[in-house]
Amino acid sequence: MEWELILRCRGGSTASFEPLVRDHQRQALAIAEALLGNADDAADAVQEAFVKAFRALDGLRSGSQFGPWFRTIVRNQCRDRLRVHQPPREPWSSEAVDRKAWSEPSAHGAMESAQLAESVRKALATISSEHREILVLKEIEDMSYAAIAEAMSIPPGTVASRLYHARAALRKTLERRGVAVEGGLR
Amino acid sequence: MTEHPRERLMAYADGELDGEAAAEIQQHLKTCTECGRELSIVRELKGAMKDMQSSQTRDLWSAVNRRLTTPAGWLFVLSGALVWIALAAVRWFRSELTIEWLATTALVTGLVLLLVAIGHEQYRSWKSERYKDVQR
Repeated sequence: MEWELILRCRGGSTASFEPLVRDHQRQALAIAEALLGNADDAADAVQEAFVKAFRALDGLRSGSQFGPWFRTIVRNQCRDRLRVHQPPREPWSSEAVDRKAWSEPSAHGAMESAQLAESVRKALATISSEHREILVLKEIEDMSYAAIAEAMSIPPGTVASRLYHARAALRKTLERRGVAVEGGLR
Repeated sequence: MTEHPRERLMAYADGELDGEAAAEIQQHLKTCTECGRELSIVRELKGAMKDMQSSQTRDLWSAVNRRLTTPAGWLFVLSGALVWIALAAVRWFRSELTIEWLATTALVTGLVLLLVAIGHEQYRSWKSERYKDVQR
């Protein structure tokens, strides 16, 4: 069904692109917002990615899935935007996060899920782009470590370590903002 | 397992460990409250990021569709204007350029462009019609 739509799009039918946009926009927006830290920028980036994807559909290998191919375009689009408009980062290096940070008791109570998601969205904007990207690949795109290693061109053994540092950096940022993550919600 | 296996705990939380390695972590979690708490935190962060996806409500189709269909109109206008300017330049070099000629050709060019644009739009709508092959 999806491939049939792609073939019609290749023939110039923009209407056949509509189901593909509607099926993939939600995840693409979440990826872009996590990477760019701003809903409006994310919408612009995803919109641009859809336009690019439509024009590049001839390059999609026969029988390939649209989703993973399109999400790569979204991430590249976000990277290009970040190169032009690098958001301000917190002065400390996320690589240097103290491993004890995971074990320190928090002074604040646990937050509701929705509030935590909003806080995480804001905190993501301040950690390094490598950490942000690996968290997006794992948590939003739900990719395996092997697929992440391939997508980021890093050794498979590095994925767990980088995810550890990324989550530690995210949590540290949340704590600096007074948001406690205590593991009580799920 | 005497130290806290933090990176393997990440892999466990992500479902990346096979049976034996997962069992080893589960065994460690029975006695290590620190790692148990850390696992809960990782799961909470994972859930919060998943929630980011479900909160997306924007519909981008209209904007994307506009972007995909607009350029043709501009190409028509641009090509028509270029043809008109080229013809006017030729007449100017021949000292045959008059206000009447400019007004008439501008009107004719505009009308031709309008007809071509309408024809193109009709063709595009027909081609994009998803149900055009369905027997009524």
